[in-house]
Amino acid sequence: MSFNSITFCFKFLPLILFIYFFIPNKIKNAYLLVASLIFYAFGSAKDLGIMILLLIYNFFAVNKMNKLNNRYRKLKFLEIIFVNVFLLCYFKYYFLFLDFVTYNKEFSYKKFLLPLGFSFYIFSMLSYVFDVFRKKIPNETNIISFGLYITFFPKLLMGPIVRYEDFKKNIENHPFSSELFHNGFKRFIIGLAMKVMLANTFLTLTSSYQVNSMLGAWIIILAYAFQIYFDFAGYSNMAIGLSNLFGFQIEENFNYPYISKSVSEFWNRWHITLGKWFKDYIYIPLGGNRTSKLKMIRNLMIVWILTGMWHGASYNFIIWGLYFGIIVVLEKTVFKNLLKNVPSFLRIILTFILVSIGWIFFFNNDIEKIMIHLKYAFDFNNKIDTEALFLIKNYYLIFIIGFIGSMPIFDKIGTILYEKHFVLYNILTNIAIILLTILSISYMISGSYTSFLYFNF
Amino acid sequence: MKKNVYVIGWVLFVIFGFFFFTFILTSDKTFSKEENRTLTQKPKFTLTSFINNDYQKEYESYSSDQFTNRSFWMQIKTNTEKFLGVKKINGVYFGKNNMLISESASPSKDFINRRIENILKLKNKYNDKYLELLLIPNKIGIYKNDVDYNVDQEKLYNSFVDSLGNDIVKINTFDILNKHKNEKIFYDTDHHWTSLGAKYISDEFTKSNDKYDIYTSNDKFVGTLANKIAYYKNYDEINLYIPQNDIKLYVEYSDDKNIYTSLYKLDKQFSSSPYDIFLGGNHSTVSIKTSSKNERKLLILKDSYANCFVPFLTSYYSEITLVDPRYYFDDLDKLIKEKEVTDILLLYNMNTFFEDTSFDDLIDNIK
Repeated sequence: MSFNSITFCFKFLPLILFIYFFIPNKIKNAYLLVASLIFYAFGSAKDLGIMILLLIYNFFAVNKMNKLNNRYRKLKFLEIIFVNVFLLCYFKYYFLFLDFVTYNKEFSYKKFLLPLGFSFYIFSMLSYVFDVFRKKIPNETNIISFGLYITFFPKLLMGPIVRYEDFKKNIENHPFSSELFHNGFKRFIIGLAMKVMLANTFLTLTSSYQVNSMLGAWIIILAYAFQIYFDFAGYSNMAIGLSNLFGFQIEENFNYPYISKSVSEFWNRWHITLGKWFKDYIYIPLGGNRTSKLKMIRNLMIVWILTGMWHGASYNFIIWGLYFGIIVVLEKTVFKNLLKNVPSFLRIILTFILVSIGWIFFFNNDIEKIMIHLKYAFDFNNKIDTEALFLIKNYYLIFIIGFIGSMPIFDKIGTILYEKHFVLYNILTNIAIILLTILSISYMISGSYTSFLYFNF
Repeated sequence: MKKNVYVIGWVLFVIFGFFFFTFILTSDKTFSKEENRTLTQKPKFTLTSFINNDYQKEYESYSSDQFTNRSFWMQIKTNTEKFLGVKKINGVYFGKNNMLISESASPSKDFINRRIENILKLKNKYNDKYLELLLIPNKIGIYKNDVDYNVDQEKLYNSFVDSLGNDIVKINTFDILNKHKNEKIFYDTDHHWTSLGAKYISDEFTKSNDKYDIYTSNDKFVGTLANKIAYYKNYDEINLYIPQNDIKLYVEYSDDKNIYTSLYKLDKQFSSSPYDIFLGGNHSTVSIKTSSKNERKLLILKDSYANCFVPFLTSYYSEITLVDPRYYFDDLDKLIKEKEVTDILLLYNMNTFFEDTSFDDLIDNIK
């Protein structure tokens, strides 16, 4: 059940929230845990078993680990890591591996799918295991608290990837707060609108057009950039907003990535919690940048290949990871001093272009398609086709809205209004939110609005 | 001191709760007139369907289908997109004066070659009979300057006719309809042509200029295109052209035991598809016997554009047989012999003609 489904918004959420207000505080965590499991079962019931088993295994194994000493503790730690990583790799890369070894051979097999949200699930789990092992945090002895940390439905399927340290405070104390409830609902609506009004419209655009000219190639690249931003940042807004409704405060995941002045900065603003995860649990343990330059390059490349692989099990994601790895390494070495002298707005544009080209690798899971798209993008002999021109005529306002929406423009205006015309600020934001609610519902309904025409012909 | 007032959260909670209660308090609908389809009903819960996720998918489709006033929400969405400058929604373009125009079919080379082969096969097989193809442009062909980007139907038409040879297409429908493009030859809200459009072509086809009495059967006609995107700015009129003669008719449908004496099914007049007043919509075959003194017997291979064309033909044939290849799976050759057909007319609008392959399947089966 995705956040932008009718079932979630108008059945699950009102019901869960309504009951939540009336139950005693003592059972609120257990209640949320059950609600989260129901939420998960509504998304993918067949995976519920493995998720619960894994949760129980990790809970007891980590507690056991903490009772052991020295070598045994380390062995237990390695065992837990192995189980989690193995399962992740098995579910995620088994078929990629099979495809690879059976390349060009007659061989058929039945595919199973990665359990829903598994990558996020395992990464939350691993972060807890690492932190306990490093004695950064004590192990959790209450299985409800631990279970809620792992399965809390607002963040279960697509993050943000929260650390136990931060989440624990919420579990212990999450009283109802008018401010949080109010801001949370607002954020949920903003996220919903980003997803159903913008991301889905850009999706319609990208899937309606076959790249056929240089102009067309760049329109699609731009549309990709907006589509994925509004999709993922919208989702994160919904996740954070929903958490707030229950009095939980979780980490931000996006911070206007498209105003970054370098690709490294971009990754500090895009999917922030994933970047931090890789930094804390892979990059720094490998030595980070504290040893030699060569080792730093090695570490960066490892992190980026893993980041690519994490996003999906096909070659294009590895290329995508490598692409960013190489750019980040270049930024930190060869171009380090050169970039300092380039004006900010040029750096923003350059970063945006580099990142956008990256989305070609992300969206096309076929090397051939990637090459075709890149070929068109730099085909100066074939600049324009009429269909691409139509796309511009049809969608130029949507692109402008996409552009404004991905920059901190509304934030800036909001802050000024808040300071100078407080009443006006309140009236305007409330009207805007109600308007966005109505529009979002209409966009959600339109997704399933199909008039049968064929039989009338 | 600035004091925040936390209202919006509760307002939203009430809005979400309101929709929650409309689900509980209103009874489920089974049919949507606007969407012309049956709506998903509450799925039955079984463990298997739940584990397979079938239940969940079905349940979301149920929630969405039973959401209150779907058409109203869709209208908001369409108007928002139009306001944002979107010129084509779900394959429907906005033309001048809110005329809705469906996008054109764009057939592949293979498709066209197969079609040409089959028409020539028909021509050779029945070279003792009169054969004519009337290929009717769609709105997008006639009003191409009103929309920004589309397949050029006129170009498609001309190149198709050129490769087919000149003796099968005898009337340039494009020229005729273009001459009358300022009249109501198409419905604004529907993908069909009007009886007036059909009359201009039939006058040329029958080489006559008969007089008709015009009756308006429905002056609040909302067609398929308006319903498809829930855009209700215009209404259309369905006009019936009744010939001023006393030809009697006996109409038989393949899927109806009754015999009718009229080409119109008045019970469809205000149904969810009012265009079905013409011959009651599409059937695998319709056979019309007339009291016309003319001996010729016509077979029409057709789509729904023919339904409002037939009324103009009744005094020129003693029998007219309509075959819709999309629903007809019998032996066409046998039918032609049984009915002693003298004339064959292929009557199609370009969108169906260049999209649907059932015509080819039918001809393929003729030995």
